[in-house]
Amino acid sequence: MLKRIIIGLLMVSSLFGQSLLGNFFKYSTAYASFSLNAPRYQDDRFAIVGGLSTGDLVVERTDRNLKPDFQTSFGLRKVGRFQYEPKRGVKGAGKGGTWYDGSEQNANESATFGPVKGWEYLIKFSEGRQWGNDYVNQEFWLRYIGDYVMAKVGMTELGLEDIHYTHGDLRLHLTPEALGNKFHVSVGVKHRNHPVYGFDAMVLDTTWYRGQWWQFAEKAFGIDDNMWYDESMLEGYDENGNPIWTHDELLEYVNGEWVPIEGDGPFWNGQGEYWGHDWLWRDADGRIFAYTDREYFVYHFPNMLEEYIGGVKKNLGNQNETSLVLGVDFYHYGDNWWLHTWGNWLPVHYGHDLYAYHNAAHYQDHLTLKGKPHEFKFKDAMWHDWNDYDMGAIFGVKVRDNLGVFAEGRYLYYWERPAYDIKLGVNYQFMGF
Amino acid sequence: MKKLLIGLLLTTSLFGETEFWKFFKYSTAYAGFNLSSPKWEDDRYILVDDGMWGNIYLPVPEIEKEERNYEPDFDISLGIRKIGRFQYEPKRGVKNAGVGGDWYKGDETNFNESATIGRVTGWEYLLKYSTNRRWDEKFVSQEYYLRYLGNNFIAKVKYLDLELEDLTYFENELRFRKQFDLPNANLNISVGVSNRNHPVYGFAPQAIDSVWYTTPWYAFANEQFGFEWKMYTVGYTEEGWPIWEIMYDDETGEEIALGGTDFRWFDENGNQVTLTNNEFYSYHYPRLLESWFEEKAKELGNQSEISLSLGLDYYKYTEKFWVHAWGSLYPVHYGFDKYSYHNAVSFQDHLDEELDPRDFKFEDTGVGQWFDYDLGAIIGFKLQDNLGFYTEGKYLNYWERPSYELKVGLNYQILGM
Repeated sequence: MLKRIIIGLLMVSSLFGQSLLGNFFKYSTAYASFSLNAPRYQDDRFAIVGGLSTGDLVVERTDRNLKPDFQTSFGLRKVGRFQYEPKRGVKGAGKGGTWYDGSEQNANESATFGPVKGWEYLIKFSEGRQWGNDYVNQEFWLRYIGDYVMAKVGMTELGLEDIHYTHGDLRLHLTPEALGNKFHVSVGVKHRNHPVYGFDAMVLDTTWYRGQWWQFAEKAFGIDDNMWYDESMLEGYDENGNPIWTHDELLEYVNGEWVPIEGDGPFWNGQGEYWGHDWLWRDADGRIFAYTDREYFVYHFPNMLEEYIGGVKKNLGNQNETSLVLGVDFYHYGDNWWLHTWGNWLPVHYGHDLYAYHNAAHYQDHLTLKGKPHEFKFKDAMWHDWNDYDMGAIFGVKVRDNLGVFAEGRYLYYWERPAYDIKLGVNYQFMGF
Repeated sequence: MKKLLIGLLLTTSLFGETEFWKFFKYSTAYAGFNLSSPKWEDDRYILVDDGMWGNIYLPVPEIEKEERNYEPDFDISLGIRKIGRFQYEPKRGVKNAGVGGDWYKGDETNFNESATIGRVTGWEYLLKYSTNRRWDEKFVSQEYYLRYLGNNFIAKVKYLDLELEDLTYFENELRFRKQFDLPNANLNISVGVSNRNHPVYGFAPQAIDSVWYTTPWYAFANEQFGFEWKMYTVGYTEEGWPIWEIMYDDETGEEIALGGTDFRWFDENGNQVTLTNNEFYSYHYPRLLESWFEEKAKELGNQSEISLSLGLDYYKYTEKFWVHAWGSLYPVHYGFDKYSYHNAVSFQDHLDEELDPRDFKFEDTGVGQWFDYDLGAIIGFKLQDNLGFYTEGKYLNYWERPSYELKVGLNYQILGM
């Protein structure tokens, strides 16, 4: 994707003459960085793996050190600096400013309008690991702001928040002079392309709960179940050659007598009985990892299914919607206070694909009406309404020369998947009493 | 935190009123709150017994959906700081915010806060507290220090608690220092003693407590975790013994376990946790044991050592190039307590000799030799007006519990083509 964006940037820029090309890149900043941090500490874990009956325990120690956290980042950016922003880059570093290192959070990068007209762009890629979880975060966009038009194409991926989309945005905008050129109103269309969102495992694949589950588990996860049996419980065989098992009550010694245990028991026959057989589960290497169906389903199946459904979603590919978008932006900067705020609302959408979000919204309605997931009927491409929005604000006020308050934040809510980052605070410098 | 604030006030009350105000003058107090979206977790599905389990004609089991949304991540930070700014540092605080600098938000990392020698002589201090939640896990980070930098000596008290890295210590340090002035630079050599006080580090659970492996495991689980077991069986022999039968793998004929009799386990509130012994000690026991070890180590309280400390600090600043590097080495130590680290070192030697951890004999208080150190550096280099490189990092290794952060990178501004 990064390669495509860079090629796209170069192609766009090559449409201009050499001097325009030079202008396009002039004053942009490229950066690369690598950071490494100590991970969270985890104590080793001890398990008893033998000697239960003899009392001479065999202890196994599991070393659970996590690998160091890290982040590798690189980027290219030409984004106009709002006056309230800290100075970054080669020029400012070491003289009151600091370097671009990929960890900076500039909430205003998600604002619709920048402080200058013309071309702006941002290429930001980070790959890392946090507490043993690998992630990729990337954001690429190219924007043109004209007197009445704003056009933007981009891609955002927030790996840990599991949000990923590409978008194209075209708007007409108005900046009334009467309001001091501080206020922008915009209206346009936005097209978004994203993975399958809003559908759960019950509708994405029904085979795991509508067929024979043991066959599904064997086929989908590459594992194997074998029956085990207790010879003494085998009564014989029926005319079809199927074994006939004795069912014995499981008894517990309570107050001097043996009574049947309550509940379902370890063998899922619903009656708390011992029936002399169950199924053990072996992994792809033939190792036994569960001795009963119950143990398998309680401790192993949920993880396996989660991974499997992740693969199903991925195979369905990306989905498309085109939406109406309405936006407002406001920017004021003064010595003692500043406010930059923006918001976009996408109320009406046209879903192009089977798993586009118009069908996810219909699926949610279907569930609300107590419909069964496997009975849901997908609709054709169509218009539908739901509220997607993103907004943000940066506010700073110096109440006195030595007292300041700030608030910064952004909130994105697309396809009911929120991503946000909010900061509030106060600084006070003691000048004397 | 409260103790440190009282300590600060007590210290300052030793001075006259003017001196007291001077002590706080130009310090900055800040408070910050961050809220951010947590890691996304998909819902999870569990199949449960519907009483028809295993029925080939009714293969659809009951399904339970487990919603796994994490609570939002947050950081709440409070601090007060008076630390001389090195020339290469970004400008922060009320004065600079909005005019090229930034606020103190509580999430800034200033590697040089761990340097031995500051930019200015006199009193400096840092009180930094943050409570955080990441992916539903809460933790606290705190650092407090008070330092006096004289022309020939340094005195410092410090408390550091990094809960996530599981590193906590309290340190008192007194060093003599000698400064060598160089062109645009200075070099400091320091030597002194440091007393550090910390929780038990470096011992395996076998050395901390023997109960868990000398008591029958089920009795231990009962006594220490409050868990209870109840036996069940399909019947019993004429002699009154519960029946155990061999279970065979149907495909291979392999003997895999004994069946017919087993145990259910209940937690301290009487809730059934597992239906067999195997399930209990495979899936639950290790986690219970881990929490128990933590508690036992905590009960042993803090341990103390006094160490020789040697330090080297170098600082050079020009507009095009700056380097600030520091390091402290603690090579020789005197351990005061039974679980001080000199015994942990002996314990490690004992394990290296492949001896049974249970046979380890604690030594008396005494001298131990191992290398604790912390070091750091900040280097910036502008090769041209539009091209710069930087490296920033710190590495602390006390009691073989490393804590580190490192950054390297470059910035290039395109000026024309």
